[in-house]
Amino acid sequence: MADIRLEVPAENSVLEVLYDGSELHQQPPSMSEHLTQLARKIDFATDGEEIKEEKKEEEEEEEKQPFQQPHWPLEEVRNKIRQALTEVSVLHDLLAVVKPKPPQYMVLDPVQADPPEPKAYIQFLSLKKSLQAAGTILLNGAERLRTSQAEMGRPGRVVGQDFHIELLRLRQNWRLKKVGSTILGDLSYRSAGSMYRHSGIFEVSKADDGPGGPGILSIGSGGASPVAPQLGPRAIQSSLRVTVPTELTGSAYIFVCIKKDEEDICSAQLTSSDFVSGETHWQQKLEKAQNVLFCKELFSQLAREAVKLTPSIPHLVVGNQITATIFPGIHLLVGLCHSDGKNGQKGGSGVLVPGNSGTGGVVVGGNNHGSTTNMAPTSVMAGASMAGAPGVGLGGLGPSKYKHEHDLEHSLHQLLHRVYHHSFQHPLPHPVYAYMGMSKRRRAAGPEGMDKTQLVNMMKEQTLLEQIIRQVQHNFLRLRTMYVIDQLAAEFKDPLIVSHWNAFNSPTRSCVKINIATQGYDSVLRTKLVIHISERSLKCICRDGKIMTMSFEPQELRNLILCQISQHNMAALQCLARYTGWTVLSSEQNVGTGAIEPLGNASTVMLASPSGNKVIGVHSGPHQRVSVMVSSSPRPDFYPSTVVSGQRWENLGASWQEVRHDRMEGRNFLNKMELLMAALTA
Amino acid sequence: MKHEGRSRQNLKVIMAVSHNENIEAALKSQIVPDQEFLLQGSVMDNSLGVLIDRLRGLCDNSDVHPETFHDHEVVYILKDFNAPATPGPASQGVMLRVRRAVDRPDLPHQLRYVGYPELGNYPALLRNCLDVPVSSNVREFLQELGAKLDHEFMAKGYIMKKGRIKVTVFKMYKMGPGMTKENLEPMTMSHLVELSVLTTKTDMSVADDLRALADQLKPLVQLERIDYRRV
Repeated sequence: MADIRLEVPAENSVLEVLYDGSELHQQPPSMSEHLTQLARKIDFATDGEEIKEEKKEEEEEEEKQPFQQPHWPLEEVRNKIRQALTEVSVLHDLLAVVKPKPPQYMVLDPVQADPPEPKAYIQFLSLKKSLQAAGTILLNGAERLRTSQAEMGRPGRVVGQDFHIELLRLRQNWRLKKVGSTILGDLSYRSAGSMYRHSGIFEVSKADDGPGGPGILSIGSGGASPVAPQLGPRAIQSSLRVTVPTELTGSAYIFVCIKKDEEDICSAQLTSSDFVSGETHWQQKLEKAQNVLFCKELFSQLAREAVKLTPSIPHLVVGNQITATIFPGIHLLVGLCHSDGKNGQKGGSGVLVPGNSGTGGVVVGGNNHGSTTNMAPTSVMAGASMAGAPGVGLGGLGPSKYKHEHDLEHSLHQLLHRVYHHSFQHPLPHPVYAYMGMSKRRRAAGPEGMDKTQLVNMMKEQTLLEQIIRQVQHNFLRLRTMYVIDQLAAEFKDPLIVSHWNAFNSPTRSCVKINIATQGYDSVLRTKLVIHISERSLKCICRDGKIMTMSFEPQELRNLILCQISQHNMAALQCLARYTGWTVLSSEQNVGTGAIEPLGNASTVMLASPSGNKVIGVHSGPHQRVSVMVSSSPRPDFYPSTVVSGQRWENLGASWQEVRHDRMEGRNFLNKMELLMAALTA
Repeated sequence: MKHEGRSRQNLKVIMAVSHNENIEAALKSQIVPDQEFLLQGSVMDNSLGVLIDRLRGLCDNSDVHPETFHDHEVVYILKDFNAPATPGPASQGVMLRVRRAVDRPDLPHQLRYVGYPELGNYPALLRNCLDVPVSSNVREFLQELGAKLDHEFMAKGYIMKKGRIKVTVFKMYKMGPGMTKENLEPMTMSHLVELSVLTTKTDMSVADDLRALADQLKPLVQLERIDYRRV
């Protein structure tokens, strides 16, 4: 049994506060008074269960406290308990009467509660409301059915061009998500690693043909071209409409070209006239918009780099053009051509600085990159003024002066794609505790104790612009090398110059092998040399193992090949002499006598006939014609004098006589020499 | 003395990479990624293939097969072994984990310190975590410092990533004498699945991404924040 604590509160309640501030406290109640007070609070009629318990307690308490005040303090309690007991007994009797089954004297019936007052008005209202809702749903459904029926029955609408099927196809190729009631798609390359800030969001909606007909169906409403409004009005209409942001409409491409030196660097005006009518399939529309986005990102990246880089000759960024100097007098021009499809043909965003020195704007029409539909022909438009410098292709005829370099444009695309790729393709950490997104070398930097410069070098990355400039430099140098070699090959038929370009090359490295041989005497000697072409220099490996590094100046290569030709002639002559039985008396690569060569040195060879009575001397220099001399011994004009008296001195060679070998028979130098040797031997 | 000199040299090598001031400044502005969110779960060996396929679909670079790893981990305890044992974390010392990639011996070893889980209602287990790439003689260095070998094991499995989240599915193997690379004794019949991401003190948003990825794996693996103190 739990103890009931009957303690008085610590402080007694204040009965009265006198005027002098002293408080009159109530006297603490005696134990029995307190108990009475507590007992009075209990209402025994509330719960039957409690009554019993309380009764027990009270009885005990009654037993405990008979000696204090005998009756009256618990009088009230007792009365209440008795009353309660009576009620409980009655209830018990009643239950006993009701309980037997079947009932004999009394039956309990549930009491029906008063039904609530029916409020007819509110019921009516709710009924009306729900009926209305149901009606609207039905009407909507009917409307939808009707429109779909109408669509099915319409000519021109091919069966199967259902919106949902189209949407499914769209979903297979593009990223879509539903925001509220609109369907948004994502054109951006962000999921592929792009960091470009443009959102690249397009909206997909159902094409509802209004009174405007097919014109409205095009991308946005502005995309409808007044030029070709009736382009295939009966063509397959898609029930899907994509709306791309206006800045991504139209088509774009990156224009890349190499310019020779001019007074005005920024005179080119770039336009693109390949506007394609808006009436295209959504797939093409989206592809083009994505291409526009890509080109914009590429160009903005290049422009940012061009501004940031500080080469000796700064890059120029004007409007939508970047000009970079790759070699003295040679410039690379990168432009963004974008026709935004408004008003049919518009010069895109590419109206540039006007030609300031009178060269006039040269309008470059490009082809349509990435579009699969209309390939507009390249258009060349006249510049403004005709006082242009000579050689500048003005006027609307002939091909454009600036040739669009497709391969370089492709390289640029490739470079940006590689940036995307690298942003996603981090090597995974090994061991797995290592940080993610860190290169292997960077992870090894700590344990290997790299210093600051090494770390900085490791972080250095070539920008896109630097890379493309290197590629352009190489491209240019390769073309120039090709040109020089071809020129020389056309110039010199004796000996023949044959060049083999290696098919395996990289964007900044290529290789050419040059064979110098004399026609008909290929087996006698072939002079081979290999030229490696890098970005700003050429490396030539000669037959004798000498390695020569040349700059980008074409004259250097030309000189080298001329020297090689001269040396080839001399070496071939010596080989020929071996076959014909002549003896090489002397051979000198670099003679110090004779006329001074502008570059390189002349070489000489002396050959003696098998019997030794004839000697041929050949002198050849890179820039001089070959001269051939002959002397014979015993000299025919030897007369003994007082100084030289002995007959034996006639065996000294006679004075040299030059052979006019250009008048000789024979196809080439070696052939002539062979004939000469034959003649002298006979 | 000789050993001490070598140890100091090692320490210098470890610290050489960055400047002390920079580290302090970074610590002050709380941009050092030294907090790790971790979710762990396990999958039975027979459903491993299904899990890997699911993860390949969810993670980056789904075009290539997930990369495998084979790591050897040695755990050292660094504390005052002579001190009388008192209850509380202070007497447990510092646990240092050294890991090396068995299949890629050219890569540096990793030294890891893992702190106690943070209290609080985070979507994933949050703990302090420091990783340092170290040279291969780190084990001798730790022994010189007075650290004692606690235990070691092999971990073999797959590693994938999704954004900043590192996903590892691996099995632990016992180490012992006569254990070769081919002949390993597995500890369990299941694979451990861990999703972890390193972040800074200020950036807690990434934990939701972690949670989202864990929810995607729901029927296969139940990934939870496991508090080791309760285990």
